[in-house]
Amino acid sequence: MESPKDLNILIVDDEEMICEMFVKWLSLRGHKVQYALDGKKAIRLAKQETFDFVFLDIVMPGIPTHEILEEIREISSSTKVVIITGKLINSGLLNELKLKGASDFLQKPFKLDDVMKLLPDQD
Amino acid sequence: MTKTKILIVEDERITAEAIQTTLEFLGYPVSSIVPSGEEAVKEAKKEKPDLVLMDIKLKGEIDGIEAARQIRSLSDIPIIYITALTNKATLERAKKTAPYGYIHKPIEEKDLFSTIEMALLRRDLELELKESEQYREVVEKARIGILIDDIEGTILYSNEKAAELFGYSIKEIKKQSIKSLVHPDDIKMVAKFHKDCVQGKSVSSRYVFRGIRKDGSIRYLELDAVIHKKGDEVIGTRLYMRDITERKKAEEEKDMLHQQLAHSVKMAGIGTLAGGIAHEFNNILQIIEGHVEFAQRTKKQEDIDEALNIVTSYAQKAAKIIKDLLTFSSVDESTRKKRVNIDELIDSVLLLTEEHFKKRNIEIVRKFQKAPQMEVNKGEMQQMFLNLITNARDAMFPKGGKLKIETKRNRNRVNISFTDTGVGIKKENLSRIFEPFYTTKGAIGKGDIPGTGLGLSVSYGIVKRHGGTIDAKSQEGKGTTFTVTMPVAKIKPKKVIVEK
Repeated sequence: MESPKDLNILIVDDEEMICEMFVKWLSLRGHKVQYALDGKKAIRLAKQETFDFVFLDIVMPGIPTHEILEEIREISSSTKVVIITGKLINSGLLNELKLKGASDFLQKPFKLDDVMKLLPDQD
Repeated sequence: MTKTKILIVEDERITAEAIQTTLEFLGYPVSSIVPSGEEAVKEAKKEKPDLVLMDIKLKGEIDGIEAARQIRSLSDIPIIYITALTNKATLERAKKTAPYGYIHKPIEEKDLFSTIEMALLRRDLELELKESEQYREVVEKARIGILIDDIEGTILYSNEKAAELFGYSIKEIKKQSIKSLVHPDDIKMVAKFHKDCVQGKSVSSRYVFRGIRKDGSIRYLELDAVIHKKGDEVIGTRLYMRDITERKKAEEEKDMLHQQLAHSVKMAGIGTLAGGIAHEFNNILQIIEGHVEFAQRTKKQEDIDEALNIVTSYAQKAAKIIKDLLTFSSVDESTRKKRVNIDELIDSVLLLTEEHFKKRNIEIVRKFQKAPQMEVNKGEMQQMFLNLITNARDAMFPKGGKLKIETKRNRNRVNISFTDTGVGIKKENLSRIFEPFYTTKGAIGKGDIPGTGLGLSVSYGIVKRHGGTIDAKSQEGKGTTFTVTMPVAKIKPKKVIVEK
């Protein structure tokens, strides 16, 4: 990606306050952030526009996380998907999600810096 | 009643016929008349008369005494001698054949009647005695232990088996007190049953106690105690005992396995629960930390204020989760049963799971009829409810749905039902769901959702131990209802008392 500024980011988490937090954090850096509380909306948004990054929670009601992941990656292979997890996940599942296109993992609770490290260099 | 048949042995034809006429007049049919000893023995063998009237002096090889001896050696037929002879030597010989009477010639009707009646009475008494001796043998050789004690509990009689049960000889066990054969912890109970029995409060009772053998080892004995009377007076109790130690051991072993199984399932359940709580907690920590960080970086006062408000409200949310968790785990884990309100118990499980369910789009509908108190093991009940609730959750994953929990009183039982709108159970699988290790989840069931196949089998065990039942109705694609039926009344200890 040539211009690292103003990334288009999608947050997918069923806990709205987590999404809000991302919005606040990433807006501080000038990124464009949207969120979806379920997989259905996430896929719909992904079809409407191309996201640079998607932060996807591992436990989602409705469509299972791995299906949301696959769908998003199918719509746009350039979109990087980071899986957020609130509990320890076994290596089997980790590998499976990696195979399905997850680029990174974030263990809750994480810091703003942990997120920033995943995004292209800001300076 | 069959009439008494009499055989007459008399070589004088006229006398014989006269006796026959008299007997028939008195109401005794004569089976036959024979003139010799040899024929008498033959006839007694063949006809089996009830009584033989035997003349001592007979023509032929043997006389009446010898004939009587031979008949008595083969049977119990009573013999009455008819004789005109009264010499001492003959009398001595006759005595040795234990005759039932002596009638002197010339025969008088009243003598004949009373002697025959007395002989028949004696025969009946002897038969009874013989029978009671057989009974005595039955008791003595019986394979159940039989003791008879007096009002104080001192053993007056013991059969072979009873002595063997306690490791004593019959001689040693007699004169012992029942108390000395009972485990100290059971003495009070045994004494109470004994007292009730001898005081006439109950005529019989059945219970299990621990017996102490001579060598100090313990046997589990099932006892039937029956009041022992002499006439109208209660003189003690009769005790019938069976050794059920092996059965008891097997039951204990089964219980232990059940407990171990229940424990491992509980651990698995707690693991799942912990996973859910960890997820929720990490979310809260994330929100708190994230907003603190945001507050530190933003320059706008209103953003800072809003962030701090969020931090406070999520800290409170975390405190509530901890409180619910404590409510759930504060339950007494001992195996003792306690009186509880079943609705409150279900609520304590729901408190912990409801938030988690909301996130999975599951709505919980409570329809509690004011349920009566029940005597249950709280920890086990909670575990059973948690199993059924998490099963419903898994059945509705990932679509979500509705879980209706209903309690309804039905006479002295309470029906507790859990109805979900999940995937349902295939008809062919419905009969197997309570089998241990039967599952469609986890590694065994090749499913995405974790599962051990033990939840329902353990739940089944818990319900059964509480004297209840559990069953499932399901329609594929529509949902499943589990109904637990539990007794309201306290489960009484095993005791059978037949009121007087």
